[in-house]
Amino acid sequence: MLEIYVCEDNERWRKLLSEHVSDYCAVKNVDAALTFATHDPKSLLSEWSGLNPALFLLDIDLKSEINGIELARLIREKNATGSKVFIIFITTHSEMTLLTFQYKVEALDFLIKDNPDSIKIKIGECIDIALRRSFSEDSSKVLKVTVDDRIIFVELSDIIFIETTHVRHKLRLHTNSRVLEFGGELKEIEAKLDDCFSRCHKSYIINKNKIASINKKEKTVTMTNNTTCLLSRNWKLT
Amino acid sequence: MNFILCLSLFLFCIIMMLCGENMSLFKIEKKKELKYNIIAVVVSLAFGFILGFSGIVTDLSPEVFYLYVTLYLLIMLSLMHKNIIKGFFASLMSGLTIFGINGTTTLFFRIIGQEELIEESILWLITYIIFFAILVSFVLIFSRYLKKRIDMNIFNNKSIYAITAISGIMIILSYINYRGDFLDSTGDIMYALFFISVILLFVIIIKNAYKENSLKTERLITEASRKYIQDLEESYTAMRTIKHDYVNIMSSFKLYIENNDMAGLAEYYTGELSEMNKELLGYDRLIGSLQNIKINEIKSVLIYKCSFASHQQIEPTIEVRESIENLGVSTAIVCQILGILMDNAIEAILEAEEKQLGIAVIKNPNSKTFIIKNTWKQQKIAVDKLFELGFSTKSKDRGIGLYTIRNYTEKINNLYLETEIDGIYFTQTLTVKDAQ
Repeated sequence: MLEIYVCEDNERWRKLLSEHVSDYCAVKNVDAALTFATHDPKSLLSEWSGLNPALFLLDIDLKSEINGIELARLIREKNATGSKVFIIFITTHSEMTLLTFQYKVEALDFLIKDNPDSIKIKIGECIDIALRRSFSEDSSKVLKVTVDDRIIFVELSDIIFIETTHVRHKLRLHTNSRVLEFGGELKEIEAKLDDCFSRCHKSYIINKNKIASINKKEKTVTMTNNTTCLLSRNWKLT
Repeated sequence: MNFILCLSLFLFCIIMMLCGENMSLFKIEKKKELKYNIIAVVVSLAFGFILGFSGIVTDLSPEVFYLYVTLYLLIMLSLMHKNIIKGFFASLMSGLTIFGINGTTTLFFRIIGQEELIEESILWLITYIIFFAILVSFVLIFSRYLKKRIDMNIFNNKSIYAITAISGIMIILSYINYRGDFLDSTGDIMYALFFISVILLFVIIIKNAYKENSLKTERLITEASRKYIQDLEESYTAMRTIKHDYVNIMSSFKLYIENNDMAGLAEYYTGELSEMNKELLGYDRLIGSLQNIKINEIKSVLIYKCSFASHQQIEPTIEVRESIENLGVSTAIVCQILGILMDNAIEAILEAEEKQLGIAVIKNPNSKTFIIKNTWKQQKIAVDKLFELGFSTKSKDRGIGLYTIRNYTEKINNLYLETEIDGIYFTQTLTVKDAQ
């Protein structure tokens, strides 16, 4: 079961968030439940066993000696057993004033208080993602890449293809909504991918599920996002 | 000697056909083709009849045949081409191909030492057709190969026209000359000239192809650099204006104070100044939030772009929490990339319903990260599409911009760009690694 914790100092908001969570779990009948809701970060830390996957909704400004960001850090430190932990921050700031923060903190999402309707929808989405990542077989199917010091996770099923650049040790990954350049070699990336992927050329790894068409004469393959990759001479679709 | 000539003639034919094909045939509208064909046939037939009846030509010798074909091609291709002069050259090139093949065939018989066979017209015609077929298939394959790799515009070049004309005259003169003695001195000179011009043609074409290729990327980068310099200049002018305004305001204050006119000062401050003040305060705020950036060029590009955004009723939020001092990539390139990203962001926001722009510059242990996040008019589009040359949802620049950036990130070690679409938000994250 996915345990869900809420830490919010404003009582009205705490109630609202708890309701949203319970409602969603009940209506969708998912394997998740609201475990604990509090205003006190310390009691949250002692309440959390760390045995099950957990989703935390943390207010950034807690009006306590530790704020939501430090609390998140403490949770990660305490999580020595390595169970799955997902953190969502709740804040009054607008999306745009949080860029540095979003970049530096590894969070599942940010909920902004100015729009209660969207919060309800987003909570549902986050619970779904957390459930999928903790229990489904796809959970391991995430590629971890690094851009300098930053770690980025990309779901394998989203990847369309990965290519080399003119520079050594630099690759480019393409999904429908994202193009990402990162450090690495195709060979080591290839080892981390599953059977859906194929090294079709010395400069390309493609997702075989994302092929739109193959041009045998020109030795190219067109992907679902309309980009073209090269094929090596003896490559065959298996 | 004959062998070399034969080869260069053949080469000449190839070039002529490539030029001709590139210049004309691919620009014809299919519908008009038939119409032009009919006109050309009628005109050349009429010409033939006039020649026949006037007694100038009495029998249908090969010369008349070539004349017909050349005339036909000349008329048809000139008509088909939008630009008559270009069309004329294109068809002249095709016409020259026919003379060239004729010469090649004749020389072929000469090489195999069967000169008397030239008179056997059937055998001659068969050889002629074989040569022509080889030529056509060769050109077809060759031009397909070329088109994949280079811009075919290289054949549209004045020096190529000039040399074509020269070698064309040479080839016709030598053709007329072939009735006489091939080996007399004028013939030799003509052939030598012809040979040289073919080599020249070849050299020019190869040089052009090479130049055109590197020019294409260079042109794009120059364009982006030009915009970057323009940005810098404008941001400098803006700063100077502010300084000037400040001095003016201060001196007016001084006047009021010297006269001890507090009422007047208050009036000036709330009335005349308020509009100007707003703008100046805006600048102040911008400069304040960017003061942690210690690289002047980058700071001024961001200030300029942000103030430009403010003029478009976009209020950018800027986060620079740590001091940004040095980058592992040339400042000019980073400035240029940021300029392009900001331009794109502002342009996209203007089309969007909700107008938000966020900029963050972050210092990491081994790198600096620039984040530009903006709202946009949500579209169902793959991110890759945006990087295609010339692609843009609206303006031309955006297509060039992202393509230019891709050119840099493709080749420069320490640059990493991440482009992400998430609903109404569009985020560009540029990571610049520090120099090792």
